[in-house]
Amino acid sequence: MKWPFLVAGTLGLTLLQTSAIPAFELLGVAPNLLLVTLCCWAVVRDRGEALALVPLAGICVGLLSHQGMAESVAAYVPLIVVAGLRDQIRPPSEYAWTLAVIIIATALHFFAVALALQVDGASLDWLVALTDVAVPSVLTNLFLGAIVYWLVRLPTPRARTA
Amino acid sequence: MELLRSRLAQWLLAMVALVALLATLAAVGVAQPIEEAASAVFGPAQRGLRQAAEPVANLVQNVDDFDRVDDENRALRNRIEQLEAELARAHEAQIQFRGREALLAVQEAQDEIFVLAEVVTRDLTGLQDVLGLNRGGNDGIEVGMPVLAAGGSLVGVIAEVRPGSAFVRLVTDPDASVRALHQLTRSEGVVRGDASGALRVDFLPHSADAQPGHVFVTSGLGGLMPKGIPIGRVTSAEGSAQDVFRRVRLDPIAPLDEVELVLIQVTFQPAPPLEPGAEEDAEAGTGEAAVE
Repeated sequence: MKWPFLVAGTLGLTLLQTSAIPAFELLGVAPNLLLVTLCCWAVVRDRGEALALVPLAGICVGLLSHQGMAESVAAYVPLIVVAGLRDQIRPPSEYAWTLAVIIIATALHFFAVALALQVDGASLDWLVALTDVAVPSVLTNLFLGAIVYWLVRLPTPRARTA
Repeated sequence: MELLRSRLAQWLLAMVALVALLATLAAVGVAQPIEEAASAVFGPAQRGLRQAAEPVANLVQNVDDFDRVDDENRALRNRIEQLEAELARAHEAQIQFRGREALLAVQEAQDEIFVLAEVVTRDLTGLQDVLGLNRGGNDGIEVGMPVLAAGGSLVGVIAEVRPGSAFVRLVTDPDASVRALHQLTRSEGVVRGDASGALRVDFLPHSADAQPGHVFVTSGLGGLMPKGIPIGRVTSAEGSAQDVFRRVRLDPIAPLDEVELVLIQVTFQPAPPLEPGAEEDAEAGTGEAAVE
């Protein structure tokens, strides 16, 4: 019964991400609420849910924006791998680990999108892109993640069900 | 083998296959109808969400910025006054020089048909300057058509068209270039987008003597863009007398960060792209031909 809600929620977040969120720029970039929420979800909630929602989110972003679907899915996939490292690293704090996942996933999302653009033949000044897009995106998503974590954490039982 | 058996590894393999499948679907054109259908279904919701968010975003972004807004207001009032004065002078000149050519120009201008479109999405990655519009092929929009702000200055060029939506590549996108004229001296150059969101002018002869405040307009050469559309205002111009070209930077005249409504000049048909050989010649010689 939870899946219809999860799919509808993902679609709703994608709609927000592709329409309203870009209006709220911080440090010159739009925060990626979808990526941040998926990072929190992958750490806090059942990992099986995140495994299904990540490709769904990628496809939805591809359908509703200028980005290609393959590019979007490829850009969101690394967050699952990063979140999955938790079992090996065993971080002392779930909150700190979620923020670390957001930082790494945002950086990997940037590199995946930039690489796809470069392969597609677009002009890209990597240094400017790093300083003007990647670093501000990491900071902005980190700020957002510090809040979104609690929105995902509070209604979730402590024991991980994965 | 242990790794391959794990759930995550299987999922990753599935994702690689999914990405390959989606890339193949896009390459053979199967993805486009699906994207078009999604745009048609969800476009109104995107537009509604954007319209609802815009006032809140403006409030949030300006809440700690009263001084800047106040300064900006004062500067804008001065600018309006200047523009009104310029308009009055231009009007006077028009009355005084109502020759045949001027009348023809006015007639031509009146013959142009524009489609009004709302901005519904912006580039999500920050790496491209692209806007999504709520009008598309069903409204007569085609790739290559110029997109103007409400005041008539250049916003960009239509880069992708779906039946109910279109995407415009802004003039500030790093992949955008427009043949341009320095309005005062009529010297030609090529205005290009810059990763910083500003514009630069390439191949502008040193004799052009562009100074801060001067305006560049589209030249119309190559048939890829109508002539005379204001593009940007000079913010800096550098280069010694020994330099062949001046290094000129512009600020776009259109308020690209805040633009919500745009005009697409649907009566303008861009010239077909140059032959590969000719394009190389143009790149090497007189400058760029491509608008995109």
